[in-house]
Amino acid sequence: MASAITLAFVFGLIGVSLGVAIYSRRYSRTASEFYVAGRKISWLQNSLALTGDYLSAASFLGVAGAIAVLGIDKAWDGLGYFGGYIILLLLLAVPLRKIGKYTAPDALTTRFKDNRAIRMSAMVSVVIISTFYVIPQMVGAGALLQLLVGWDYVMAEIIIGALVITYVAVGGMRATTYNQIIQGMILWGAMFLILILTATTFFNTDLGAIMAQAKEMIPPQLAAELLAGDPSVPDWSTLTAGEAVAFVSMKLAGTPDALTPGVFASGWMNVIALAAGLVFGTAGLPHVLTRYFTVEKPKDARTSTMGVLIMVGTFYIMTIFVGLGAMYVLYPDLMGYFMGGQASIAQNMAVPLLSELAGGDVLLGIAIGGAFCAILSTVAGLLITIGTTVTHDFYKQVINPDASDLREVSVAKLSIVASGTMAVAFAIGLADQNVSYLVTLAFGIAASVFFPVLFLSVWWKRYTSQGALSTIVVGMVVSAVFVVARLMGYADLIGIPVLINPALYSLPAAMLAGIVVSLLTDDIGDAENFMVRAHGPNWEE
Amino acid sequence: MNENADQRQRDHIILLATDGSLPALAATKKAVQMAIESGSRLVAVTVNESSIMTALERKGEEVAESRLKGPLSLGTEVARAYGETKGVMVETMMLPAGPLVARILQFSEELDPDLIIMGNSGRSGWERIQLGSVAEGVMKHARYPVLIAKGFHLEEMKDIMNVAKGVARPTPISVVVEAPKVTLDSLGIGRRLSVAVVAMMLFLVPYFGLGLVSAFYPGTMVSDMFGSFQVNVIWILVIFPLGWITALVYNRIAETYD
Repeated sequence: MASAITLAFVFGLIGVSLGVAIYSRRYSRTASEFYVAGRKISWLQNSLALTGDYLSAASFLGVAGAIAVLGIDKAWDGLGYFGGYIILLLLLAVPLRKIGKYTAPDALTTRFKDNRAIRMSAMVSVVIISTFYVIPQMVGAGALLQLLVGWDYVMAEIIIGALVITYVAVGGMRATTYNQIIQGMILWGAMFLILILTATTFFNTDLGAIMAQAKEMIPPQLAAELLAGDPSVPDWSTLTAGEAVAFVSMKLAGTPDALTPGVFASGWMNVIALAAGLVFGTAGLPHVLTRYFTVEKPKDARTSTMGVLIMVGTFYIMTIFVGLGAMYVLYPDLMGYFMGGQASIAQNMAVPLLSELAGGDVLLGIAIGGAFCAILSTVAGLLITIGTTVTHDFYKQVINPDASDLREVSVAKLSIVASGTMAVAFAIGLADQNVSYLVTLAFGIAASVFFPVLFLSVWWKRYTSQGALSTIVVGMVVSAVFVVARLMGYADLIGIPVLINPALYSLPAAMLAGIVVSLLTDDIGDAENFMVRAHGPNWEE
Repeated sequence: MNENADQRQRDHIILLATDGSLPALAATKKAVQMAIESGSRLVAVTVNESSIMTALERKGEEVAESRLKGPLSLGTEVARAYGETKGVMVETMMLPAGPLVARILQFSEELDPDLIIMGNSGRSGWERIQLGSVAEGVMKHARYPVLIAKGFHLEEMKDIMNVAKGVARPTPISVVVEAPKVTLDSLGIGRRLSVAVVAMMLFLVPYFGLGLVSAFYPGTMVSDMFGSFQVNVIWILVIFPLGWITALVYNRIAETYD
């Protein structure tokens, strides 16, 4: 349970976040100094906004937390999330901005005009990916509040749901730019502070000491599995970090240490599948793609991505040291959580616990408040992505093509409220379940549906509507089948090994299906105009 | 124009800030009338308003504004056309994107007008909280007299409304139809894709290479390289800057596409 100072920081940050959400748009119109949103710094603003938008609680708590319990192998998450933006920059960002549509399905049907099957299947993919992504965020947020603020889980979910819906409905749609900028700075700054304070307090301001220590430790999650049922296991709360590490290392001599590769993803197929799923999945997440429809000029899509790469890259570099530092400092706590059957807490709590030890109540407040704001805005972004596609690609296309703008906006808001309510319901229903596979599925589908279909549409003239549809369907089906197989615990499926991420099979399958079917069919859509628009000189200026 | 009129024009400048909304049209009417009466030079400006918004946000804002929007025309063009009907030459200008108030103030400093005229939307409630009032902002900070046109009779607005209807606001779609004069072949998509893929390899080879070498040569990966930093840790830490270099190099190349 958090102290009053911590709570003050948490609520202060949420208040600032909501306040900025409400006032930012007004400020961007009525500020009397022109440099505020002037052209000169717009790329920086854009990139901070994109960074704030992208850094979710999963990045803030999850990546460092996972490194703290599994070691260096979990640096893959950060590498993949980072690399996804390089793929975006090189292959998709500018073309998507130049096509300048509302949603990813919209961009596709700009080439394959009035193709309802493509629009619908893409719309369903957006909804599925975003839903699978939003549920773990909500479950994680509930658990976080339950643990740190002491609220009842159901209560916490309802409060988060209500806040998100207010945030969306009230603060314009997505608490525009300024909020994301502030959030990007808070999360980056908090991680920086945690790193500096951890290094100075526990490691003599020597990053090398963190590495040296990491080599002496067995990752807690691994150790807990190996020590399960061992009667000689002590009461972890009575041990210091050094004693706990020494005990485990003595008991489990020869076990991989925190810097050994392969602890999480073993064998080349698993590693490559994971790496591919992360890097191409990030490039295919609908709510990430949507952001590119919002930047002012096509050129900004590129310069902003550069900024994002710097911010996000340095952020994930910090998480590696913070994660490994947390492993040592919190070793007895983490062992205690794992052996007490609280695995998900162990992973999500590493960053907040470390920040409390390194920086007291204030830093803990910033960490929790920052994480909470990240959850709010990520969930809001996901709900808006769902709401926009449902309204634009389904309601406006199928149910009521004559809908006025006013009607469209109200339907969008309604569907955001509805999907928000459903997300709360799912989160309550799935409490205490391990829902992280949903994220894997989200990334797997994103990597195998949107990345290939957008890539081929933007770059390949011979791509046909039938080919695009095949890409979407094959990508979706193959990734879903392999995730389900993994969930059911199958080691292989008709002789094909089941991996930790489906992308190694589903991405090539989707590409291949698209290419083969395209070569056999000939409806290339409005390829010439579409591609000239995507790659040609900027027609807006 | 006779010499006498020129003399007076130098003496007197009216700055009209207009966004083509109904209140702005009322202000336009007033500005033209005053320009005639005082023989002033009339300069009409509009700010190219843009900010990072999702499509839904933009649409939401358009809906909120539609109540005030006249026939959706470009304010400066209406001022020019309306001025013509009254025999007044209206100079027009589109100010670059930025905060509306700041752009208007900044331009007023350059122009040094005798009077700024603008409309007041009369927003209230939630919209007012969210969008604020540009007229109020200009009034508060301007170093010149400001005249706010507030309230109007639709009956009296008929003439300018008719002019406005004739000046349709250009939609992006109509620009699209005209613009692509280039052909796909001239863009060299294949070459561009090769460049992008080659640049991508600069990142992807070490990225997937980390996985493959870790899987096949774990022993190499865990040997120390610099102090207590192992090969795999260094490799991971190097991938990030490699990504930055990839992005920078590609960015330089892609600049030529703009």
